[in-house]
Amino acid sequence: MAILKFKINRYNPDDERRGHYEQEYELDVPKGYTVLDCLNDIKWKIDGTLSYRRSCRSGICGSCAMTINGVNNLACETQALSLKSDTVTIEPLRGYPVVKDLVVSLDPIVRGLMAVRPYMINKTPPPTDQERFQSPEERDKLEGLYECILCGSCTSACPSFWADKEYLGPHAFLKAYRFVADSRDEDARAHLEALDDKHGLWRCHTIFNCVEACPKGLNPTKAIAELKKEIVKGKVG
Amino acid sequence: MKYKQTVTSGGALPWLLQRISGVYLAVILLIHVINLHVLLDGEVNFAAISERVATPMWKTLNISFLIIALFHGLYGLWVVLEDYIHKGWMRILIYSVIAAIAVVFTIFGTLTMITFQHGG
Amino acid sequence: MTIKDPETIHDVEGVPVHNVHRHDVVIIGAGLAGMRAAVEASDEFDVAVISKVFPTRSHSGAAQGGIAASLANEEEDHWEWHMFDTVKGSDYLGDQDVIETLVKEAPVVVREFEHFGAPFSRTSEGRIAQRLFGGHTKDFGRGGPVLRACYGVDRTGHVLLHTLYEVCVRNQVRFYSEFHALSLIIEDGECRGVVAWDIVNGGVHVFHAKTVMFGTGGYGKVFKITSNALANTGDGLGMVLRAGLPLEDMEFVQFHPTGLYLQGILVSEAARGEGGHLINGKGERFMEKYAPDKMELAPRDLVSRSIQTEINEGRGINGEAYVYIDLRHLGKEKIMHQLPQIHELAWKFLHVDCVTDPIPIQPTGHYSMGGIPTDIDGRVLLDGKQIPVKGFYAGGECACVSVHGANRLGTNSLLEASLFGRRCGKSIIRYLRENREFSDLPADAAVEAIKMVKRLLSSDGDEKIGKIREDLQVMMTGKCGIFRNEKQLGDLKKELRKLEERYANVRLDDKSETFNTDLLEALELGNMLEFSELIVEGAYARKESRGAHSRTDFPDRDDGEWLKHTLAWKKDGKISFDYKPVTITRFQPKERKY
Repeated sequence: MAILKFKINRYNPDDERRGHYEQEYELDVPKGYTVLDCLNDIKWKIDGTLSYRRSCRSGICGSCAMTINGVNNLACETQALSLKSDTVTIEPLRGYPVVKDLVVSLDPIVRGLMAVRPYMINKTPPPTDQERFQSPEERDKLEGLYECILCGSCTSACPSFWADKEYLGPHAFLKAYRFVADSRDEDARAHLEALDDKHGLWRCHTIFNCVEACPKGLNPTKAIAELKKEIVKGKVG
Repeated sequence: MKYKQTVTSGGALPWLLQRISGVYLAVILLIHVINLHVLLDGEVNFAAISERVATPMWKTLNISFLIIALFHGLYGLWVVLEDYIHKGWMRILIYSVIAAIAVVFTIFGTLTMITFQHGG
Repeated sequence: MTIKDPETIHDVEGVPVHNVHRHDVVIIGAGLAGMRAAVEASDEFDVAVISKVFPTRSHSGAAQGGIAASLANEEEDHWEWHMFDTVKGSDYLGDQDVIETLVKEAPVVVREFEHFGAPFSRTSEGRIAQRLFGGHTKDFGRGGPVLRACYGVDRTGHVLLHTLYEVCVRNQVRFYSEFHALSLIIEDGECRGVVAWDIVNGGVHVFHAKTVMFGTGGYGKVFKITSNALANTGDGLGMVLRAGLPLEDMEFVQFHPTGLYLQGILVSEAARGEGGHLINGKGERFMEKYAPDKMELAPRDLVSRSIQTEINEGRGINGEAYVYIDLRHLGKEKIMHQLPQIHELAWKFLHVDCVTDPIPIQPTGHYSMGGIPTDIDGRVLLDGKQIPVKGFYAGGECACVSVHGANRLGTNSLLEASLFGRRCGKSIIRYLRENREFSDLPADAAVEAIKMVKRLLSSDGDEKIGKIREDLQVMMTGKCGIFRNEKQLGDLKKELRKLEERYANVRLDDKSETFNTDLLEALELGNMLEFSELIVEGAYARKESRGAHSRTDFPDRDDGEWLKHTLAWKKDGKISFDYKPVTITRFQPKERKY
């Protein structure tokens, strides 16, 4: 048990005059409480106007990504007491338009995702009454790629995205590589097409912020490097 | 939902050139260092260096080093500035300065290198 | 008011009504059932999916262990064995004609997922890998456990959900993300659309459709300790009740044996499938007493009751309300390769490294076997028995066909959701080929919805949403949980009435229109209160113990009196019951032992 001070970034578009401001709440935080538990306590017991997204509370749905003490993370996976700080500052994910309080617009995430044709493209009809075969080694190439929960933490942390709002974002590249690396996908070119663009891969300056920001421990920068190689190989070879 | 079809505007070639030039610069730099500090017998002084720099092979090597270093550095700067400078007039100004640096340094550097003579 | 011109923007009693949207098919819910139906129907028709969360945030994605199908990739298996297990698991309350369809079509559905691109784990020959799961056995229960659960590491729901979203994108399905459905438009026994609230921008939207499908999911959130997401509030069930339609078998609620202590977050049954042991405070593998044969791999209802009994009789760890699941003997390599997410969850939420320490667990509210009565093609039944509502379909956890009967087997839920989602899609296509025109929208289509929103936005009482909901959850867990009895259920009935009165007297802090989660939670609580009474009344009425419904005052199964499905209506606050027989084809009810 410890009393923590929460400084939360607030914004309500219906009250434009007030604009963005910081509001403080104090909360008795028991051991084991996550930041999401704290937000819920604030919302349910102190101030019902506080808005944020949340759903699964087990780190798989990707709703509650936010900036906690300056670091992008899932609120539901962050133990409040292990932040080792009396004050917890919570802001909406940076780089995205804020809808209200801690809720940001998902449009940039969706737009980047759509550009890479995020689905398996396979022209050969599948075998009847059987799966397509894939060796365990081929399947292992998808490890670290398929686990993305589209929480948006990576793209929010990316300086290239801050600079260029049309930049597709590391989450989109990770998804693209998930298909390019899949032995069953037959049209890498279709996924790569949109990436070979000044708002695409070439805008990545290998800053590694996305790697640090990913709450699932994935490595978009590595995927980007692989994709760059694929494109250059396609042009040279 | 429809995905956005973007025109392929490239970026692959500059990216590749940046890697190749980087490697080239590293190699040349290494050669310089080895030449100067390992292979060279005796004292490191102007006479010893100028003798080497005056040979046609070293002239070619140094001119290529100059041009590729200018490309690598200034193009890198160019790309990074694209991210941070959005105002039209500021862009024109800064990119003009970069282009001017490239032209002036290339001309003066090359001239210096070509006309350099040992003992002269 | 009238709603004719699709582009007209009205303002009724201070609540704006925005566009009327028209689609051949409108699906509520973007989980496995909803999106699988969308994939199917979008091959031929214009499909829209409405979801109160972004599609990949749906709770199907939290499923971990696997999806059942007798592929026989790893060892001998047959659909007949799978059918027997499902029937026995259901404590003979599942309808055997639909169970037969379920198990026969299962391999097709799983292989289709693979063809769509789902990254399943693989066997050394490159086939879909399969693992053990509770209640799935060889040779009609005579053999040992069988490798039947097809899996993608321990993120099976995640891979299936994302794959379906991807195929929906490919098929250009129209998504309305973050829209909360408020009411059904039913006229002359025909469903003509739904009314929904735009969570992001505010405003009531009318969706005019030829067919509507519900894949609105379960309602774990009526319980204090639950594996379910905060979004799992059974909204579809509330809407159906308000439309005057019945719900089936609501008293059957599954409690998953292994939820992380205090959090309720799921520790997949795969943990036991891969060989994990359950240990009580005395260090005993206590399942020996309850299921000497199948041990930890007995069905969930039995394992949950066993754990709860240990806890109730003081044999929890240090006498507390939890026991351990022990994975240590599996070794680090197996844990990290087969159960990485469990390792991650135990670490992040309890700071327990399951390679070196056992994980504290307790039973957790998990799944609703009951729901909206449908036929085998997903058509919602007006009388709960035979007469379908034209153009209205339901699939997945919100529906009750009923394949799970009184208790669902692990991995049968992902199967049911996708398989009956697919069947809904197919039967929607058949329906639309014959019914090509839109029926007119009634003039008062949006009135009920607008009233609901308006009442809450202008509410001025003194009750807080969070407090009422917490009281509901505590009461439901305490008095309508794993073990039930007449006295507690009777008390609970009265207490729920009081909660409804309190709900009528709420006050919202947030009166704005943009992303008003206070309003959303109030609407969700309204839905939960709507159907919670049916769970309790159904449990009160059913004087026997069957599957997940365990009455301490009636500990035995009573096939003579209670081998039948409950149907319940709620009209003007009054609950009425009817019953319908269970379809029995191949397997006659027998005593259920594991």
